[in-house]
Amino acid sequence: MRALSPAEKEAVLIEVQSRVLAAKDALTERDPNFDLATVVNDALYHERRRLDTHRSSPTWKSDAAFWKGVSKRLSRASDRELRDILGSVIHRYLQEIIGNFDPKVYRVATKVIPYALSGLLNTMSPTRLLSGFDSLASLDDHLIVRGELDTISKLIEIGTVILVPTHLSNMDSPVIGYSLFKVGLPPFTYGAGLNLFTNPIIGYFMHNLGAYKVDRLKRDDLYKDTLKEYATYTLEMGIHNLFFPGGTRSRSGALERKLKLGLLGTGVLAYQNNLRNRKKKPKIFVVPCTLSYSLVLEAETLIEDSLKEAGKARYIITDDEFSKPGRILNFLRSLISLDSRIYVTFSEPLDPFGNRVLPDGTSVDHRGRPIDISRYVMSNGEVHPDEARDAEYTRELGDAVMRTFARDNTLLATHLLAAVLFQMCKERHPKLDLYRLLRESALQSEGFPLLEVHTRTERLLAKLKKLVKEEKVRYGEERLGWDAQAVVSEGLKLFGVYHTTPPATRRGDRVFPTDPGLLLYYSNRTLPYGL
Amino acid sequence: MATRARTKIATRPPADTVGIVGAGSWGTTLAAHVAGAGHGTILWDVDPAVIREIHAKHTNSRSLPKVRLDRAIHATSDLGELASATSTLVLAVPSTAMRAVVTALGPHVRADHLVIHTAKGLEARQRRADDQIIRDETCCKRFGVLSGPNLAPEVLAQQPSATVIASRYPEVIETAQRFFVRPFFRVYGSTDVVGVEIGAAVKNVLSLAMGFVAGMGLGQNTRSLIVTRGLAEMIRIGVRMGADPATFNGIAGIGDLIGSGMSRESANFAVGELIAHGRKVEAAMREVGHFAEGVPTADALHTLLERAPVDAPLSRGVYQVLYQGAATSEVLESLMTRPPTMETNAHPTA
Repeated sequence: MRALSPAEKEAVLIEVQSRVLAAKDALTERDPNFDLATVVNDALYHERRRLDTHRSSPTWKSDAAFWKGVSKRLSRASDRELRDILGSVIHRYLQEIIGNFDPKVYRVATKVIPYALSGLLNTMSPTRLLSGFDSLASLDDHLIVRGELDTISKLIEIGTVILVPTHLSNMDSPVIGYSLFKVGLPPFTYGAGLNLFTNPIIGYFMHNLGAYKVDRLKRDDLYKDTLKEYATYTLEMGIHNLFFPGGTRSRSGALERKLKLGLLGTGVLAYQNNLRNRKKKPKIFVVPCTLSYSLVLEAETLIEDSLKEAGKARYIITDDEFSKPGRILNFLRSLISLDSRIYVTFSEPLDPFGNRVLPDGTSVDHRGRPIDISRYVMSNGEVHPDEARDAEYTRELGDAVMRTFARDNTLLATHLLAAVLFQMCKERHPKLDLYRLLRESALQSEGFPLLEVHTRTERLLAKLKKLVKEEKVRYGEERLGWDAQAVVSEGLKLFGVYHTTPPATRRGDRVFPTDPGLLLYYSNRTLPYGL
Repeated sequence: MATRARTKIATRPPADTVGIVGAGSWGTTLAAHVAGAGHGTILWDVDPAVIREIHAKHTNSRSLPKVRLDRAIHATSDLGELASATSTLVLAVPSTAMRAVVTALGPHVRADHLVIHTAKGLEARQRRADDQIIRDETCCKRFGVLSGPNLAPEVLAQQPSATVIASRYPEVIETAQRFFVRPFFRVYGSTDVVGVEIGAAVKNVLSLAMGFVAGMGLGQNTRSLIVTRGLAEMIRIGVRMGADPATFNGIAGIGDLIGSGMSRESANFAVGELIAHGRKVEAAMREVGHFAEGVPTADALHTLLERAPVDAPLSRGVYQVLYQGAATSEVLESLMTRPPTMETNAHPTA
């Protein structure tokens, strides 16, 4: 990805603004019940509500002044003025959204930071430091990047790629960013929550590494349309994009079960625009990507949020472990000092219609036959836009992405041990609802016999082995083999090093579920497989 | 697929030509219906003799004896020709043949083909609905299901009727309406593909039950009982599979159940009646001369219900008669002597 000059940025802004305006004009012509005043009033209503409830926003003053002006102009606006107001709102949104990419910052971030961080972490671990330079672990050793890397490298030359990863942690963006660099793939632009830009250091890197800003507190349709059009246009420019299709971090620890289709739908739109504009490389490829962590930085906050059923209210969590540098360092130190792993799996690419794509960019059906995908969007030889049809294609793409997530998810010792222990908790208290179960399980003093934990883990591994053979899921503890004792031991070791209260603790020949909420969180990763 | 019978294919543009796959009674009726409205119509069948007869005599004595077909209907046994000359395909084959036909069609279709199926069953081996077979075997995404109380002789006689086209793609609904609407034939749209498919499949099983009741010489009280409790059962099964319960109160639910559950023109009803008279299943189908899709569907539904338990006593009863050798009277008695229950709040899904 190259840096855009200020003139190019301005051109992007003008193009996206005119597209959003044109779409609204077309809707006005098509639908007699639709008018521009409603669009602006809707934006005004939602923005006023946002400003009322989020007064600490750094842009509060200028936002409030802007919307006061809009309100004033709106009351006596002619049709022409109305269109000007609408244009100014879209312009303001775009000024906030538009990202930046600075190759210099990218070089620094990808080359210097991992080593510096690694050195820093190892300095904090005297035993490691004393054991000699060769044994110094680096982030590289703990980040396993695998999957269809060759295919993706080829597709990047043929068309534009949308990367759609699972989302567990705010670490995901840097982890993916670094993974792309590690395997020689170019950087991707991505939409990052506005809250992540408030920290001046993280915000600086976010801004200059290609992130564009997404304010999830802005709820009006105009903002969403503007954001979607911006993403679509960047795809048409050949800028590879990254979207988290789950929308937000998984609160429960489970894989995404429902995807936000808005941004995912930009693929089919950009493809049609590329065909219409006779672009040389019109194809858009969608690459699902699964991330698996032995330990998740923000697990405690996320599961607490999930259990409070406050996910919606706290849609944007600003006070979790990611906002505490000490916790991030502790997390990374645990990652490096304990041979813990982060798996990043790039899956088989799809086209915007959910079909598989071969390395040469050809889409194929379930029987491996090539498909002329332009025919999905054409009518009588012309590209024929159809919002309802495209929404349905995107729904199918979403289903294909979720199937891929389940198939390429990597299960680790902590997930498996948590699944075994949480099941044992449930069996001990079969009549309790989830909340009482969590409370009672934490209080129990007798724990579970280690031997039984081993036996159950062995059974679970046998089932998992079959599923792995059938390519329904991946297993990330190859170095431990299928040895139940080793898996339990690894899980307990990892559980004991990072979390404030370990999810489970071994004392003598018994295992205690010390934080059943966290056990639930880690076990949820195994949900789709009926283990 | 067997030897091809080549004929001159229609010259209309593909966008105004419907390809109908399967020259059974319903496929041939649909071909006559579409051709009668002035649209290009190509009828495919695996049997070259049927194709030759349609071309030479404009009749299909195998499926619709004594019916004179529109001369504008072109017939072929070449799926490649059929696919290249059309942009809408109607799969008028029973569920038991669906995978084989769609697999053969797979290499010929394009991404812009709209595919509509009219099967009323579930695939026996994999218990998959027919739309899933289309996904598995072709590149086509835009598909729908056409279903309703459409007895072929009445449609051919141009008696007022209605049907439902269900698809998640508005384009498929609009296209089906463009091709099939005629002054005596209304086509309603729906987005509930699962509901319409389940309604059609369960209806066929219940039509067998209606045939049993007729064959046992029972009157209107019993028939009404089967219709109403059958509808409740259809809703329970449908909801369990993700359908909209409102669908079953319409043409593809209660409408189809009344239509084919009370008429000897329905193969399922007629076969059920003969079974109640003591015929074996195969003998009954031979005597009726048409395939009763409810028979394999009862088996597929039985397996489906074992995997996803739903209270479905009528469907289970039909299965017992067809596959476990139970007498119709015995099954009816066991149904009638179940513990009393409430009528309207009994919609448990598990």
